[in-house]
Amino acid sequence: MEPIIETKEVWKVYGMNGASVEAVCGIDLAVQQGEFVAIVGPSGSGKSSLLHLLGAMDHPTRGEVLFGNQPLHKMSDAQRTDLRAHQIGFIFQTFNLLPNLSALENVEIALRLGGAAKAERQARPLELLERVGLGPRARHLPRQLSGGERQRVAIARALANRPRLLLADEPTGNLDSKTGASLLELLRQINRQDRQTVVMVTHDFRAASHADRVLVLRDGRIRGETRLQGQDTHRALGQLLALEL
Amino acid sequence: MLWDLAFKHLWQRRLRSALTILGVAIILQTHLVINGFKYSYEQDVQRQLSAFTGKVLVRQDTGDTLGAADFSLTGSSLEEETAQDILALPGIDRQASSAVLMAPLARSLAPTILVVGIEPGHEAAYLSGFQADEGSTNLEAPTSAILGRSVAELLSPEGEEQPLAAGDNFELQGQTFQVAGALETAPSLYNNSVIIPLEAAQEAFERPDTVSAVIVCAGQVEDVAQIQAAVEMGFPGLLAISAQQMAASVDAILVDVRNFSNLLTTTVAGVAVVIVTIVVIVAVMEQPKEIGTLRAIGARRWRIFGMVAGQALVLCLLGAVLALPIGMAFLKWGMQWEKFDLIFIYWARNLVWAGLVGILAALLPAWQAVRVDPLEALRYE
Repeated sequence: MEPIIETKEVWKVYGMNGASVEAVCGIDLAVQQGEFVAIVGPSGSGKSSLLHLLGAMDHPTRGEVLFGNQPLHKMSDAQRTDLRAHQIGFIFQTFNLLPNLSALENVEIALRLGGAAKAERQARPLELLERVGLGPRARHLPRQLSGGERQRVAIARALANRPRLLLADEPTGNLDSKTGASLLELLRQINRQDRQTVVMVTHDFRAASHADRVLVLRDGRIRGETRLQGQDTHRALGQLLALEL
Repeated sequence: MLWDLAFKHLWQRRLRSALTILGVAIILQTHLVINGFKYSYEQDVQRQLSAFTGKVLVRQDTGDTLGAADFSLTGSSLEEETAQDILALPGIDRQASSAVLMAPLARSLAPTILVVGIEPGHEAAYLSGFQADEGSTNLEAPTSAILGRSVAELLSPEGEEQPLAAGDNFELQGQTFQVAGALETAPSLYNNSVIIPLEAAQEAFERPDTVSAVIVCAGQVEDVAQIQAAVEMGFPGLLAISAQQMAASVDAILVDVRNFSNLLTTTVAGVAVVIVTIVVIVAVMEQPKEIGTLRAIGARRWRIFGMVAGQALVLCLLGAVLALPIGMAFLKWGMQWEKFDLIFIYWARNLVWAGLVGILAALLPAWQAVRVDPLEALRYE
């Protein structure tokens, strides 16, 4: 089966004060439709740089990133922007909701950017907010919502245009463990019910244990990979910790 | 477009937005007032000019730069006898021509009142078809006077709210005159004129046997050039100016007025552009994460451009709307102006100006905004 997103010997090198820093070093990765992949690693391991490349927000220094077999580096800025609008949903660590818009409007704006018809723009935001359990708080501004609620709005926004790929950047990084766990459960549920492809980067092995497949990244390279599908959290955690060691 | 976002951002910072709108309004009302005055001045001069159509103005050649465009003629002086010799030249419609003496009335307050002495029975030489609202335009008695509209109000006795009307008496240079008629609204030269018999004017201003100029009306239009030539040949030191020459001279002055007015309005618009640019740049600098997020979730650059331009346009257009009452209040109470139909025309143009100012003011901040990297959305605080 053709992967949704694939990297081929991809490198990202940053120039800094005359020196070069290799953030991503020759990574080969393929994510299939319906997979929930976690990329786990410590700070500075290159996981965010890899996510930027997967999300069509940055260009690789070498190698290529293919989205549905289309090389991203051959796309114009407008084409990559359209790809982000229609095919990729983003969940950010700091939620990144637009502060002057209500939860409902934050979801609606994604639909507007995706070119959705008016009828869909009117119906789908509430439908999505209800799905993430925020129907009654749809008219609230982000500042009137808790961290967990904001991240649920961000998930609803990311799902608005039925993207083929959902990218989550440390989605539980700003949440307490209980809220984080329920959020990961929601992501897992969306992944299973809709066969929604999810790629999540995190430094937290507990968060990564919700994924089907975990890649461990260190110094810009994949140092290990394991499949957790069907395992309970404790066993999965044990397996991941062994991988890290 | 993301105009709702632009509007909400402005609403979120209400005080700053309100102050900016007020600033833009004050600037644009200046624009409004300058343009209003320019238009009004041009209309006034053109109407004055049209009153001299078919006539030749004979005045002393004082060598000043105003020359033909000096309608008040107060700087010119010639012998009355010479004036009568000119009026006796062939081809002149004597009934519609007259020697005139013009002198400003000493007053401490603006506007200047112009006293015009004219030969009784030849009032049409100066009035050129302007009629009286009430009374007549004939200087039948040696102490008759025809008043311009503004002068009728200015010379009314202290404490009297009503302007002077036909039959009323008033004092001028120590002499008592009786109002024969009050003119309809006319160009400012006429509105500010008191027209009295030539002899009375010479006595009042102690200028016996002298006049300021001769207003000559040709019997036939084609005689104008011939009369001009006759004056220049027979009366050295005098200028014979036709209406066409006056128009050319006035046009030269109007070009200067227009240039000056355009310089002022362009400067004013430039200040508005700078103010709005600063405010919108600050707004862009405040929201790199929001802009980055929009870019990350699929907002194309033109949408971001539109959002920022929307902020600048809203500020400018609301400023332009507010400029109307401010401009009207300034003109009404500050300058006793009442040509508000004119102001509405200029206000409509002002809206277009405001749109242009908004677009210009949006360029730099919008350019900054579209350069915001979507990765900005992923940077952690």
